[in-house]
Amino acid sequence: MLFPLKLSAQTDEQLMLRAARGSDRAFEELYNRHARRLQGFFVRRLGDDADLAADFMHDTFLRLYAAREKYHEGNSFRAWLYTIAYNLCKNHHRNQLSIVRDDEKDIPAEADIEVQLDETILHDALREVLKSLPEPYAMLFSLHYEEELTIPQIAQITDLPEGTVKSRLHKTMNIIKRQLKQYENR
Amino acid sequence: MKIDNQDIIRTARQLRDEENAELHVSPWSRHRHFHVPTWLVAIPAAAIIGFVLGLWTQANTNSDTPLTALVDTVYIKVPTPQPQQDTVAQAMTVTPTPAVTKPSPRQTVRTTSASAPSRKTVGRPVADDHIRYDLLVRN
Repeated sequence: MLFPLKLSAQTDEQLMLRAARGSDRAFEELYNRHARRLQGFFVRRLGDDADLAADFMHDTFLRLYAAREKYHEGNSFRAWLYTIAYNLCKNHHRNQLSIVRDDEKDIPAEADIEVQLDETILHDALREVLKSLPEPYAMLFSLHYEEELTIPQIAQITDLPEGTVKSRLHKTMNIIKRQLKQYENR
Repeated sequence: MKIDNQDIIRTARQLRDEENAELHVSPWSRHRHFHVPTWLVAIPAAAIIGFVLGLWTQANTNSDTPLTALVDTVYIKVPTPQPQQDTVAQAMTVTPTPAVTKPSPRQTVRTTSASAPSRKTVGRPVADDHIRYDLLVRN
């Protein structure tokens, strides 16, 4: 298979294939593309600990580099990257991600909560709400809405059925709206 | 305004971009970063600084001690009248001068009580046993 010469013009999967065949420059290009975003993901998921997030991000890429030869053509690079990242978070939280808290179980999946907020208030309020969002909802929200991974990819990463991912994402939106409603009269 | 899911998603992504932009991302390295714990640096550094400060303050204390505390004996020079100068010729010839001259009390050197009082003689050195040790020739 022939690759175009310019690395920046290649897709993640093409670069990963080149890295799997021994190109360190291709792997460095992948790092440059995704490091900042992955570090941001860790910052949000590890409670604003910037140093720990930087370590986890670097650790993720080290694991990816060590396993680069196992990459198979056609697999999604981002799904693989975030699978490693998710597992690091999961180990850090000691399996907290898979536990649904009892007080969250009674959240109605179909609730339609109306929130009236000014846009500037929404910005600050959402920042607070997302920080206080319980696991595993925060992780799913982050993977789907912030990191823009698809539901099948999230199902593969978290090892959950797609239906569970969908219903939990719906619940996540309801939790967020319910908490945002508290900012209506401020 | 009424907030819907799209507003929340759009604002969340805006927050994500703001937070990501503030991050410091180190360049790619194949080697694991080694972070020295802060306490591992702080404790030895504090010990070294304390040791150096201790030495410095001790040195300042020593410099304040009186000079007399550092010596055993204090020598005081007593002003004496200038003795007669011997000429070179007199010095070269041995004349029958008295072997022992009694020094005047004013010509003694005062010493501390720790050392025995000694007499300082004027003229040729003569020992108490009347032997001219300065004329003895070593074989």
